[in-house]
Amino acid sequence: MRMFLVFALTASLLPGCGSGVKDSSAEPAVSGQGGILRFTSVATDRGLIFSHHPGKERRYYFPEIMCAGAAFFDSDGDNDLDVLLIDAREETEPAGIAGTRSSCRLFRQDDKRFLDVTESAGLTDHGYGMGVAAGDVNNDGRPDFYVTCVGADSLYLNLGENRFQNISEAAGIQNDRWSASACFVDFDRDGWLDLFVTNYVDYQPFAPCRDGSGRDDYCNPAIFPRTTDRLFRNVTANSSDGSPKFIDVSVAAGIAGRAGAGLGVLCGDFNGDFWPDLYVANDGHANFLWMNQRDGTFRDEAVLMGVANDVVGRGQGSMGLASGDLNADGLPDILVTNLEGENNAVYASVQGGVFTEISRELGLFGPSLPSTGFGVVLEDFDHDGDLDAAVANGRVRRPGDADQTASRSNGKTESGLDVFWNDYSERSQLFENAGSGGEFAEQAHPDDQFSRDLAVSRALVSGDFDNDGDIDLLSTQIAGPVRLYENQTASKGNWISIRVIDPALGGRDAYGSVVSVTADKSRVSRYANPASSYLSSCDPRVHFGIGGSDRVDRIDVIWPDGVAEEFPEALANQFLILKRGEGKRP
Amino acid sequence: MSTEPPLSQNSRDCGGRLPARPTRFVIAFGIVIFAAVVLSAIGFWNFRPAKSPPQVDLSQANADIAALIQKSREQVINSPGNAAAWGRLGMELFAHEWETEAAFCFEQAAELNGSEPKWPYLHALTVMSGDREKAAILLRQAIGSRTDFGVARNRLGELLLESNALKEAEAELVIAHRSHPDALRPLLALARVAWLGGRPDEAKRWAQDAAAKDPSLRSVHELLAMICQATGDRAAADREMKIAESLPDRPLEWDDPIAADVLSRRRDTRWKSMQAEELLASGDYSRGIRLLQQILTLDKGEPKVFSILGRALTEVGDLQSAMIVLTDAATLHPDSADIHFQKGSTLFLRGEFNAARESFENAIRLKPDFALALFNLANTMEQLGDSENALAAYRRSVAAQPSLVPGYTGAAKILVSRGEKSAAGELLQSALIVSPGNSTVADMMRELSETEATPQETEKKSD
Repeated sequence: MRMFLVFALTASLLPGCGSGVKDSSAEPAVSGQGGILRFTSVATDRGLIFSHHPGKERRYYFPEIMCAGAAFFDSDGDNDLDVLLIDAREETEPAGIAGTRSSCRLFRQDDKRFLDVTESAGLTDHGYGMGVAAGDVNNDGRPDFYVTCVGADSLYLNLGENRFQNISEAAGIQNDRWSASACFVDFDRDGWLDLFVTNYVDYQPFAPCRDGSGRDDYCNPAIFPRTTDRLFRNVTANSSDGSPKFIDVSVAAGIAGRAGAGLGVLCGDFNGDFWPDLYVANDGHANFLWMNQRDGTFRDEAVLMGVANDVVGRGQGSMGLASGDLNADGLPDILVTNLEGENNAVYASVQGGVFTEISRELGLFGPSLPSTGFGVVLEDFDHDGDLDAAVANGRVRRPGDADQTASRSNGKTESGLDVFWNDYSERSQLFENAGSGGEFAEQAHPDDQFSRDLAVSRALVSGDFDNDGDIDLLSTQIAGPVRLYENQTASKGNWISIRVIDPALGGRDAYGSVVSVTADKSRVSRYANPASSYLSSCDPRVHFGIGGSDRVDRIDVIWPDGVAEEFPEALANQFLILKRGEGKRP
Repeated sequence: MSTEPPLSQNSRDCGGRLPARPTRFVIAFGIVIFAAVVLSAIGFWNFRPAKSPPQVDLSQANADIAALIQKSREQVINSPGNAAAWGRLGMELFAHEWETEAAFCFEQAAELNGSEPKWPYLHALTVMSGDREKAAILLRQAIGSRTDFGVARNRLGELLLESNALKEAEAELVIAHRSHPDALRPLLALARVAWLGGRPDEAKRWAQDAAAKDPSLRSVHELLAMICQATGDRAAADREMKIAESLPDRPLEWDDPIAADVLSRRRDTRWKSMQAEELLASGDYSRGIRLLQQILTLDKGEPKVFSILGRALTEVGDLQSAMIVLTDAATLHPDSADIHFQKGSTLFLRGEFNAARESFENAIRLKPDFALALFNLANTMEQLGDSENALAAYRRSVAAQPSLVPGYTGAAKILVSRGEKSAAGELLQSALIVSPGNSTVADMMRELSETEATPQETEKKSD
């Protein structure tokens, strides 16, 4: 976010959300030969009709410029992705935290159409929603979800048959802070998904902030105290009745020892020890890299590992996160979206466990400077064997040359955007990877709608919602309709999509597994955990583009506890479910 | 056999002299044309249509800002050829975040006085975040006017470093370092250039030089820690991290007298209240309070100003005036948790515990994670003899802010008084994790360990 004093300047590795670790000795399957990326907006056609309501519009209530999240997850176990969208509250409501509008909307997918089942699912709790994380907290094979809010967060247990229950209090979850992104992660490898929640600033909703000239605008987070993130350990195993239980271990685990302004969180194994680590994007402050000490505690090594600040040592306005092997060196890299005037940063891991920023070398420096990046995903959209990038953009402060009367008018622009929000809108961006560690090129088909639509975009979620084998996108925008983009990139290569589950854990998705496929002597890996981007939870399946290969020669899975299994070859262009125990121990 | 005319022959002779009369004519004509062009240019320069100073929408600006900008605009209108007038207007616009308009003014100022490096430098600052190439050109222009312009050269070096133009960055930074060998800024930037250039040993030397000159800069130790980590010297890396973490965690900022001059022109309420806070922090309560009162006579729209004033008056013991300010504020800004909190604190000091409780509860209703309000509510509850609710409020205060050590100790004291020593011990352990070496907590831990578990606790454990 922009510094309060302008002169101060003068002064996952994830399945759905993309991550890859490539064997440095192998060649990419097909490198840089993908088609021109093209996404078509299909939300209305598919029945996904929802417009986000920021609540206290035009009153510069700070949280409204930062929301809202979304998730792709299979809520009903019918093997297609449903959509959860986060909402806020009605404008007419009082300033208190409680509201009367549900903090989320659930859309179940049936016959390729989305149907709003919020009420029947029992999701009628109120609150000013921000983000979402999905994961099975009681190992019953059904994904549950957690909604972060301005005020008390909510944990919803999936009861089956499209019913959910808010169990926050009973489960021992209490986080009254303004929280943002969250992720489920089994940090202690006991088989139960724990919960990490980023908390943003200690906001006091007083009068609108003003810029130096006295014009009303959204606040700069630097004027509010920083807060600490939360880690809740899942202790359901000790629960007498089997109901989900968590205890707050933020202090004991060391997480509470660092105050920041957390917005994004990414789970991954950043030192190859098969224990999950956590990377946190802080707004206007050094980012954290919580390295798992394997004893229930974490240590922030962001500074030591070179992923805390920009190249001149300044904290940036970091928002969204994605991870993957962007320079094809076989090691995980981190992509961080930042504020306008700062570049979206790519930190590439190098020898010695230290990262270095390679945004310029990858061609991602210049194109990101004019925009404020929020949601970000790394996926192989064109199935050419390397990761492409998509970034959802939208300003947080009105540009200096904005029409001052616009902020006080109620009309719509020609493109249908509310005049008030038009000042904050930006185009999102698509970047195609040239492969072999080469440059990214910002490109899109002339008919691409993802990069053409103007919006104040925030969450960006990736997943194959139509089960046609390619990765689609969903983005949220403030005070506007949700956008669902179907991937219609021509001349795509082959693909394979893999879900990893552990029957011993109720058949739940094995978050924290590393899945590797080898095709035509090329080996690519992905880390299974759907939490990344910004306020988002992506498709829990891991997706691989394999270019011209018609099969994968082998599939290797390293399960979250470090146990490895090898699965046999498989034909391309299919969805696989790999169950722990059914592979061969190497 | 025919002979060619001499003229033709001569005209082909490159080494020969041209005929005298036409040459003089051409030269004279050329001079006349040249003079005409020069005179036209001078005439155009002096009598070209004067550019107008930019118009800005002052409708939302406070009276001070509006008056300041209007006055400077008039000076430019009256003296459009005065570079200083344009520059002053630019600085005032820049100070109040009209960057585009400020850039235009700096451009005019630089055009009128090309020898003043300040104008291209300030122009560079206005475009730095949006157009780095232009910023670099302007910074070079500033340095061209004054080669010892250290601030501009350092900025240029850092800009080039950020753009990965490492060789160019290094060249500028080496000059900056040679011009000012004691300056920390080029040393640190040179260390970063060497690090990014794959020369960790050299990077370490530059950073060590910087650390030797000023060991209090956190960034230097952080950089050293990273270099040591990368080169496999984990012990040194840990050592440097420990030093870094013992230093204040502030954004990296460098002295810049020109930017400071711009900042000093700010007249907006938030800036003034920040100045007032600085005065209060330095112990100058009378000036701080006076400034806050002045702000409130102009602008009652910022609840935070009331809150700061109320706190300042409370701190100097003028509880009556504080109550007047805070009661007024609570009426004007009933949704401000901060004002209710401050009012509660003042009421507490006046011994009005029931009213204080009500104010803290109002603050918490508006902001449920208000850790200090929860802590103060706990204190108030203790005064009212309600230890049960006091304990709950202490627990909520540390849940909201785990680093709030007095929250742990307050709760622990209540638990000890009830004989629940192991629960108290757990809270104190948490306090020690968030504040290692805290002597108050350590003393309480010691006292606790010297006493044995109560019979009730032993009974509970056996259950």
